[in-house]
Amino acid sequence: MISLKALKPGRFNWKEFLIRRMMIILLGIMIVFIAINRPVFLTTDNLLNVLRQIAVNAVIAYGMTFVIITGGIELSVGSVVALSGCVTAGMMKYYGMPIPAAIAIGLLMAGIAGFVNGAIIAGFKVPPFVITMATQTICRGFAYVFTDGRPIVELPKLFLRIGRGKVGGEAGFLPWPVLIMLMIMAVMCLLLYKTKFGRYIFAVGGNEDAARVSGINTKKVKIIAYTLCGLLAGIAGILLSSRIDAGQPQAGVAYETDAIAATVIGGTSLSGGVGSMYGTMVGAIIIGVVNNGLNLLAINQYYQMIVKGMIIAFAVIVDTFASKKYK
Amino acid sequence: MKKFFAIVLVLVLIVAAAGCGGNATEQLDAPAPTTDSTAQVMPEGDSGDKQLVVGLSMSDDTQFLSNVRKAAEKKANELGIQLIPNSGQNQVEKQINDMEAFITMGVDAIIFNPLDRNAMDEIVDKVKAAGIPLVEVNTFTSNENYDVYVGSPEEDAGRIQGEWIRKNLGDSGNLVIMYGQMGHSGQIGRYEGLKQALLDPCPEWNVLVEKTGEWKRELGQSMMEDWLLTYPDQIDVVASQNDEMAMGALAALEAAGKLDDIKVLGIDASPDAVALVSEGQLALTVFQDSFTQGSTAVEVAVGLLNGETYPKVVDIPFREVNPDNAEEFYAMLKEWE
Repeated sequence: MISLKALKPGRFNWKEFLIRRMMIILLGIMIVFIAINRPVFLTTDNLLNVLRQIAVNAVIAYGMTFVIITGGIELSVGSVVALSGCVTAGMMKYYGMPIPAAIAIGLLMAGIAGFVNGAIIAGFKVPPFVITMATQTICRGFAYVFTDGRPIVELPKLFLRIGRGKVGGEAGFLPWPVLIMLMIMAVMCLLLYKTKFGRYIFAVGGNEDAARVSGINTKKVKIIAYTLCGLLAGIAGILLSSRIDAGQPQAGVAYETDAIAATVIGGTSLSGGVGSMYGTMVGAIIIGVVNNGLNLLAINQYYQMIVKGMIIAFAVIVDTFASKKYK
Repeated sequence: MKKFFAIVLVLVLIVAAAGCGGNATEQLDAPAPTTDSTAQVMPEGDSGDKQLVVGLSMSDDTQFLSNVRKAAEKKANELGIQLIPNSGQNQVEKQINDMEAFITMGVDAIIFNPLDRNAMDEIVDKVKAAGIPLVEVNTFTSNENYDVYVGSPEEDAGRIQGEWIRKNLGDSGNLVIMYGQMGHSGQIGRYEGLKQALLDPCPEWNVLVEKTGEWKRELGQSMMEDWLLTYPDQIDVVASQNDEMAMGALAALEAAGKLDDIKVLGIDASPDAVALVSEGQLALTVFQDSFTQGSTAVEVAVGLLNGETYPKVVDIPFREVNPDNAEEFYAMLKEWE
């Protein structure tokens, strides 16, 4: 039995609102605690560092949010990150392409990867978990084949500005990755909350049969969702490779975990139909704050893993509580 | 009610996490004689001189690197300074984040074991811009703005292998090479040494195949199994860039009954590898003194803070481990544990 509220996306329903508040409260408590113990946490430098450090994950998570709202999952994003980074790097270094063209090709590869996922899932009705697990290895394989196993290094200096520069050049303040992350979030919010497509995403996730029966082309919606996810992973891959000045075939391993975590912490339900782009942003920030805070507090790195996992578990438990109550 | 419960749960979590972090005053009075590194930076209190704080950014937690870290922790305890170890867990981005955290924390010095020779250039500049002494250990970055590099010249390890092959197997034959992670300064250097000592002077030595095993035992094993089938009875020697892959190769050879036909060489001289040299299974390994690397890095970092000067590169020499000295090596390694 689903609630009507789940079928009326675009407005904040109870569940979303409550959960989002819960996570923001958690975030607030963490920030206060860390700031009391390590005032340096609140310096602009550190806060910008945190935002810059989460940019890659946040961008991937935005795409993941679309996919999870449709009731699916995307495990190959980490490999797409590697593939797009390597292809872009290779185009610039070995084929002498200008940066925009190289980026376009990298994104094209990422989009194709996403499209293939979506097409197989929509067309053959294979469980997304299984198929994206397969494309995860296939994509990474392509990355290794393309680079012959070696990282592609020493990329054009201008390209590195994307991951390392600030808006306004040397004297600037806002790192480019942060601006890119915010711009993409704005676009994704528009897409999810203000367009027909966005409403269809919620519909398909809430009840696929009802959606199909009411005239929505569920296959098309899914394919677009997965392609979008691939594209965003591609952008993340380019951000990453410009940050580390390398197209590495081994990059992005396990990045899907953090992306899913951000999405889930943000209130998007793994069973589909409900989700929030703002929530995903909050989720990504929580992960970044946890990583940064635990580092600053010099907590033993192995405990860091445990704490991070506990927070994710907590978020999922809260999510399940609330969806039982509000669905 | 549910919200209240949730908030309580959150507070419990955070308090638990803080509890794992240790207590500021406790740490100050008794510099912990254990290897537990939950010390807080800048311990407050009124005990006079502030204790030096050094950040240690390791690339990963392999057995070899753990030895570097343990030796560093031991030396840090001896010198009465606080060492904060972090591991990049084989992810470049994580190691960059770890280093940024050190800069933010304002540690007195940083010891850095870069995962990748090229990807870490920017962070080196950031550390120096913040005025923090930077010592690189075991691997180094292409950006040479660090203060000191403490390590073993990788070419030496490859060279020792090459010279052994020449001396024991002659000027010609068939060779297969197992590489570490491509792009790693060890992978690059060890190959260079092997090439200089063997492949360049002896063009009759033929490299049948070369591939990366990413420093991992299971890959060394699967590669060897495949090569045995692809090049039956053709391989004379396996030059592996580390012991883990070499031991994987040995496992494959044992299963195929080829232990006597093919010689395997490793690098690192981990205790199990040294034991195999004693037994005669592994022909040679090269000791990379992880312990001295770790403790010297700490010495140098502290020395720099005290105003001492060092050469740009502090060499910790590689040592050959062959059946003659294997037992003595083994005893020495066991002492360190």
